[in-house]
Amino acid sequence: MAGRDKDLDAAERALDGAPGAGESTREARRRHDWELRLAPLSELLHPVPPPAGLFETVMRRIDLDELQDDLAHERRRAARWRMSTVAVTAAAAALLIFVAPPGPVETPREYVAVATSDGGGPALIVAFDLAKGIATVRPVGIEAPQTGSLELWHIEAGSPPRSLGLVDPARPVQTQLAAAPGDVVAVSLEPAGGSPTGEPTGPVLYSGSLVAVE
Amino acid sequence: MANEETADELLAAVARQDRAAFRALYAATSGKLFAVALRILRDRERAEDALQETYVEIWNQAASFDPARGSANAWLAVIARNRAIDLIRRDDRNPAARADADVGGLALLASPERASAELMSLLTCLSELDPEPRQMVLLAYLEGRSRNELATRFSRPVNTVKTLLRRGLESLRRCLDA
Repeated sequence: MAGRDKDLDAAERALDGAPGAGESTREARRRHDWELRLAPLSELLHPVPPPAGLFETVMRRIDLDELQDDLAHERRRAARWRMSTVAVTAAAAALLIFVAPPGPVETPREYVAVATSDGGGPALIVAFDLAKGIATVRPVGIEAPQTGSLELWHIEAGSPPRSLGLVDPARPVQTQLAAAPGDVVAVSLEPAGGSPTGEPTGPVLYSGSLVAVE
Repeated sequence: MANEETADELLAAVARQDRAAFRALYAATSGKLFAVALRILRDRERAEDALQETYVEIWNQAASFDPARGSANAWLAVIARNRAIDLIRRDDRNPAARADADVGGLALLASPERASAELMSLLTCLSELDPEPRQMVLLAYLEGRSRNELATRFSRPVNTVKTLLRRGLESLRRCLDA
């Protein structure tokens, strides 16, 4: 519309609290300037204390988001690695996952994952016995945390992380696990004894996804 | 709300993923932002959802805060208001109940000594509007009222509300720019 006052349009959108369909970057900037301009009106409201525990809920969501981001990044990395198996041995991989062939009759196949952690050597090797659905987690040069426990997680695409139990840096452990290529295994640092919530709450120290190596 | 300097500094630290600063920012600002969400949503449970969304966004977007464009407190309040309005527009299960809810009192100048210079300018300029458009602007802002809701409340056609709001904003701009 010719001669339309675009700044006033932006003020209306700011008052609506909605970007409006097809808003351009420039229009969004104008709207945001008006939002900031009107925002001091919120000072008129008396504060109301939010319920206890809400901050912790926010932090759990942020941790989960970051874990998902790490894992998505890991999947992309692993997808690139799949193209070059030779390079895997040269990689500074922190977590390697092998899927052992289930039996002598089938064509031998292996799965390997390359980890996110940079500069470190392999930290864990997870060997799968697909026939029995058992994973053996073998620590390789993993460091015991000064406080807390290391917890192992299995993440299938689109599902929340599932705990596979604690990792003992000193000895291998076996765990039931039905895994498929593309799944991710991650190790997070948790309070002593493991996550109190059933979901990862601490930083992810290692992660790797299952990738077929031809 | 946190004093300006504190909120700005805390937000800058949050942009560097400083969790302790995030906790301090939450302690300083969550009461105010919860009030923003409650005023719009009129429902504690939904306001709690909106507040969660708000702080997740604050954590993720802190690096995009530009102190040259506005204060940290204003930036935080914008996020809280927009997340609450998102919830309303997406999922207003009972708009009639919301329209009938008691408006309650504002802390209007209850503590003028703590009001920011920006708020004082806004209030001065709003006081120059006629009562009806002034109230419409305040209700649209503080309660997230849509033009349809305002039309019902003021027994005016929607187009009249639209015109009054636009003229109100125009006068406000003229006054603020003066």
